[in-house]
Amino acid sequence: MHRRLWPVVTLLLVGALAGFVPVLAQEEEEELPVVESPWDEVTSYDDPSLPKEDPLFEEPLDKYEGSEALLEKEKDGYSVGMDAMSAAAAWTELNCSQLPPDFGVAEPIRLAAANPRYFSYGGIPLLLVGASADCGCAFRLKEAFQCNLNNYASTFALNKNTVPSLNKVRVWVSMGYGYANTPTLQLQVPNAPFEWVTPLAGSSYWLLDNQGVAGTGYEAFFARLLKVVNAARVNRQFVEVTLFIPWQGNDFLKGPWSKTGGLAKAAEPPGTANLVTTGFTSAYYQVHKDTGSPNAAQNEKMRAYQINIINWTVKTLWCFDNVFFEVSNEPEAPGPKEGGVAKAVNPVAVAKWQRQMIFEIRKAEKTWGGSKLSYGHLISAQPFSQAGALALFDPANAPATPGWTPDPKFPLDLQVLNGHYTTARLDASTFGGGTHRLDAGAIDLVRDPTLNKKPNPIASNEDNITNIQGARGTKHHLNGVAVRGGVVPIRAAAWELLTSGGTSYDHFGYLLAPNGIINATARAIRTQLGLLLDFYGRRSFDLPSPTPRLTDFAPARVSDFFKVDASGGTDLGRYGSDECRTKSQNYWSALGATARNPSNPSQIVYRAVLVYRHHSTPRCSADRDNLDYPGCSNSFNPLGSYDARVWTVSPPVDASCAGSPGPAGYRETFTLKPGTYEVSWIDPETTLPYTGTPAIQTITCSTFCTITTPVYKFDILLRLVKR
Amino acid sequence: MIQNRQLLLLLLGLFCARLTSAQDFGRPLTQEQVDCEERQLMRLQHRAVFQQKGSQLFFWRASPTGGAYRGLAVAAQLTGDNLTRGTWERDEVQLPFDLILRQEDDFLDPRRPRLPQATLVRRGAAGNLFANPRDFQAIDVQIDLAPVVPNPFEPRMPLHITNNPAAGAGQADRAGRSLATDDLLSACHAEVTEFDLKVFSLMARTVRPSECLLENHGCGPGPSPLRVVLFRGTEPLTYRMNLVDYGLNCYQDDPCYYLESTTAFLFHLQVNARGDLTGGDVQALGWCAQEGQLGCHSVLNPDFALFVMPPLRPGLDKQGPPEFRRSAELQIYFEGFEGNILHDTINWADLLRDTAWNGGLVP
Repeated sequence: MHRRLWPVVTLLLVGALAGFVPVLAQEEEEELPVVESPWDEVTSYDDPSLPKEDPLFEEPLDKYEGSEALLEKEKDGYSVGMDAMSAAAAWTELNCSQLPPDFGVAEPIRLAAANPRYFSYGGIPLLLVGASADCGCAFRLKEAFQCNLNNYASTFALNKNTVPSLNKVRVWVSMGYGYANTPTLQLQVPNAPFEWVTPLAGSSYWLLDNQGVAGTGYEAFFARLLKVVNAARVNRQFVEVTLFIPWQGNDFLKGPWSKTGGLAKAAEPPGTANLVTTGFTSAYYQVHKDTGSPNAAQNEKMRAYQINIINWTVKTLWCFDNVFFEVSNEPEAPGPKEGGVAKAVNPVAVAKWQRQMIFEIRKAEKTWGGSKLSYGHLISAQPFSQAGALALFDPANAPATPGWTPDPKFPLDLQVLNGHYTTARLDASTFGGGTHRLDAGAIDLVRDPTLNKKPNPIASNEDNITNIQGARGTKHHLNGVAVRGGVVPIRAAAWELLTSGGTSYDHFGYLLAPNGIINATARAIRTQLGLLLDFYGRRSFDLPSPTPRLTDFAPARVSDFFKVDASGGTDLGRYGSDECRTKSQNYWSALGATARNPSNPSQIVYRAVLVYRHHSTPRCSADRDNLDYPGCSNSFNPLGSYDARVWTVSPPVDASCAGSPGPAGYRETFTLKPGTYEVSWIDPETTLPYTGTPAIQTITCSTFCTITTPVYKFDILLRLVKR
Repeated sequence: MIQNRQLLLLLLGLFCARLTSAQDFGRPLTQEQVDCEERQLMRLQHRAVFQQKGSQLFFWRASPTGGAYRGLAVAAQLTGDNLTRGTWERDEVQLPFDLILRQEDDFLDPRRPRLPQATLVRRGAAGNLFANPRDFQAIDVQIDLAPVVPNPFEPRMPLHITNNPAAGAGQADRAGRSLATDDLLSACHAEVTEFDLKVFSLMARTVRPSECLLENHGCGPGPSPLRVVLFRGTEPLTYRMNLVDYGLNCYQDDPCYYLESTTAFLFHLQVNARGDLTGGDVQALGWCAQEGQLGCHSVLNPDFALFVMPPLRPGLDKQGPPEFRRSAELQIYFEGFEGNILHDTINWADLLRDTAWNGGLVP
C-alpha cells in the first residue's frame, strides 16, 4: 500500500514546491482570531450597570523613581491658597563667594512630593509662569527690545510688577557663535564667557582655560551673570539658567568654539604655558560625542571647555535657591550649513550628551556647594523630538561616571522637560547621514501619553514672540484679518499647556517696543499670563470649599462628566478637528481635581473639571500667511504657535459650511451625564465669569442634559463641579 | 474504499498541479534586479508631487517591458483621535493614472530632435472626478520632466493632471531628455505578470500610512504628503514597498529646502488553489546603516502607523472603526523604540471578503 501511495505523495510534493506551501500556510492564517481593541471598553462607560465615577478620573502618574532629596513635602500649616512667592519677598542679593555667616544652607526650588509634576519652594507647591524678553540679559546687545545688559533690571521688574505678578525668567550663558551688534569681532568679546587675550604680538584669541574678564565698559562675564541673576532674585523671579546655546549668534567661525575659525586657544597639555589653537571641527560636535570622526580626539578635548562653562556658572550660582539649570537651548535644532546644508544631530545622541552634561553639573555642585548646598538644583532639557524626549529618560543613556560615588542628593537624571513652540514639524538632514524629523513642540510633549505620565514637570520655555512681526512673531486672525505680534495665541498655548498637565510656561518674547519703551502689548501678555498663574496656582480656579490643593490637579478624563458616544468620544469634539464655518480647528484640554472632606479624606465632596477650549489653527508658513483653510496647503511654520481665529462678528457666509454664517463668535452645546453640576463659564482673558453668564449655575440632570456656551470670541474655560 | 481515497488524492494533486502551472506568480528575481527596479522607481517618484495634507501617490510598473507605469493618487483623510480608536475614520478620493514613456516620438519633423516622450493620463472611470471639489477632494498630480529636480514643488517641465472632469484636465504629455538620463525607459527585469499588476493595484487601495493615527504620537499641524512605490521582491509572492515622506521645510529666515525620506517594507502573500489572496504579512525593514543603502529606512523617526485595510474604491469611499479592527497595523516611531510594531499578519481573505478582487486573480 505504501508503494501505491508514492505517486500521490510525489505529486503533492511537486505541487507544494510549485506553490502549495503558501496554500497550506494559509489554512492556519484563516483561523487567526479577531483581536479585540480597547475602544470597546471605552464605550462601556455609559453602561448604567457600571459605577458612575470613573476610578481613573485623574490620569495617574508613573511612580517617581528619582531622588527623594529633590522632593519637598508641604510645610506644616500649609493650606490651599498659600503663595510660595510670599517667601520671595525676603530674597536679597547673594554672592556665593562671600556668603554671610548666617547663610545656613541653600535649599533650591524642587519638586512637590505630593505630585512631582509641580514645583515646590519653602514647603509650598507652585507653578512657574513668566515672560522672558529673550534671554541675553547678560550680553551687550543692540536690540533694545530684548533683555540685555542695559535693561535687565527693568525687564525683571516688569514681571514682578505685573498684576498678578509673574515668577519666572530665563537667562543664557554661553552662545555657540560669536555675537555682537556689528560683525566687528572686538564687540563680540563681551558676549562670550572666555577671556579675550590681546597679545603684544600676533592675533587676539579666546583663552578657553580662563573666564571672561572685564573690559572697557563692561564687567567680567560671570560678574555680570551674577548681577543679572541677583536682579531677577530681588524682583522675585525664579531663573532658569541655560548653559549652552549652540546655534545662537552671528557666525560659528567668529565664536570661541570653532577650530576652523581659529580664534580659540587652550593650554596643551593643560596647566602648561603652551597654547595651541583649538575648537570643534564641526559645530555639531557641541551637542554630541564624536565617536568616530578622524578628529574625534580633538573634538572630545573640547568637552573640558564645556565643563569650564559649567564649573564657572555653578561656582557663581550654586548658592541661589531661585535658580535651576537648563543644559542647552534647542540642541536638536539645525545648526550651521556645512556643505551647503544645515543639519541636525541624531536626537538620541543629543540626549546622551545632555545626560553627560548633567553629570558635570552635579560634579560642579558638589565641588562648589559642598555641605552648604542641601541638594542639587533642578535640571531641565529641551528636546525637539519624541525620540529625544524619551531618550532623556532612558537609563540606557545614563552618563559615564568615572570616579563618581553615587549621591542621592545629586542625582544624574533629568527633572524638568521643556518644550519649545506648540508644535514642531521640521524634516532635517541628520549629521552623519539620513534624515529625521523634529516632531515635538511643547504641546506635543504634554499630550504625549507616555511623557504626560512621567512624574516630572513639563514646561514651555520658548514660543512665538509677542511684539514682533514675521515667522518668529505671533499671529492670529481677528474677524478674518491677520494680526501680528498679538497676545491671544500665547494665551491659548499657555492655557492649553497648563490644563494638559504642564506646570510651567515661560513666554519667550520681545516685551519692549523697539524704542525701549514698555508698550501695551508687553504689559498685556504679562497680565494674561499673570492671571493664569494666579487663577490656577493661587486661586485653584476659585473652586468651592473644600478647595483641592494645587497638587490634586491632574489631566482629567472627561468621561465622568460628559456623555460618551458610541465611538468613545464626546461632543467636546475631536481635538484638532476642522471647523469650516470659522476657518478654525477645535482644541481642548481638561484638568480635574477631587475635593475631599478634610476630616474624612476618604469622603469625596465633589469632583471638578476645568475644560479649556480654543479655536485656532497651526501656523501656516510665511508664504501662506493668510486665512488659509484647511491645512495651509500642507505648508506650516515649522516651529509655530497657534494662529487663534477670533471672531467678534459672524464669519462671512460660506455655503459649503454647515451653520454658516452663524453667531458672532463660537457657541456650542455639550451633553452632560446624570448628576448635579455647578456650571461656570469663565473668560480666560479676565478669569472672571463670561459676560452675561452667572458665576455659578446649578443644574441637576436626571438623564443626560445639555449645556450651551455663551457666544465667545475664541477661547473659554468651562468649570464643572459635580457633587 | 482505500482505492477511492487514493484516486481522490491523485485527482486533487493533478488538479492543483494544473492550477499551479496556469497561475503565474512570477519567477524569482535576483537582488540586483530588485535593486535596479527600486532605484528606477525612486527616481521616478522623486519627480512627482501631489501637494495636499495626507495625500498619497502610488507608482508601479505596468508591463514586462520598460517605460510603462501605473499609479494611483489618493486624497486620503485618516482622521480621529489617535488615542480613541472608536473615532477613527477613513475617507478618500482616488484617481488612477497611466504614465507611458516612449523612447522617441515625433520622429518625422527634421527640425526637432528625437526626444523621449511621456504621456500622463488618468483613468477617470475608475476614479473620483469633481467639478467643484470640497476641501480635500481635489486631486492635482504633477510630474516634473526637467533634467534635474532639486525641488519637485517648483517644477520646470511639469506633466499635470487633475480630477476635474473638464476637458484636458485628465491628460498631459511632453518630451524630456530626463526620461532617458534617469533611465526610466528600460526594464530592470521582465517579471511583471498579470498577477503582479493586480497585487500592485490592490496594495494601492489597501495600504494606508497615517501619521495622525499613530498611537502615542499624533501628527502636530497635519500629515505630510507621501509617495509610495510598489515593486516585486526577490521571491514570487513577495512585494516591496517604499514609502517616501516629502516636503518643503522653511526654517527661520533661510530659504525653504526640500527633503524626502524613505521607509521600506516587505509583504509576503499567500494564495489558495484558485489564486485568491488569503493571508500573508507585512514587515518594516530595518534602518539604513549607510548613505545610499537600499531596502531600509533612511529616516530615524518615521512616526506613522501603517494600515492594511479593506479596499476603498469609487463608490465606496468611507470606512470606520470596524474596518480598522480588521486591518493589519504597524506602528513605527523611531529606531530602537520598544513601542515599535514592525510586523503584522494580514488576513487578505477577510480584507477582500466583500469584493470581486479575489475572484479576479485567476487569469
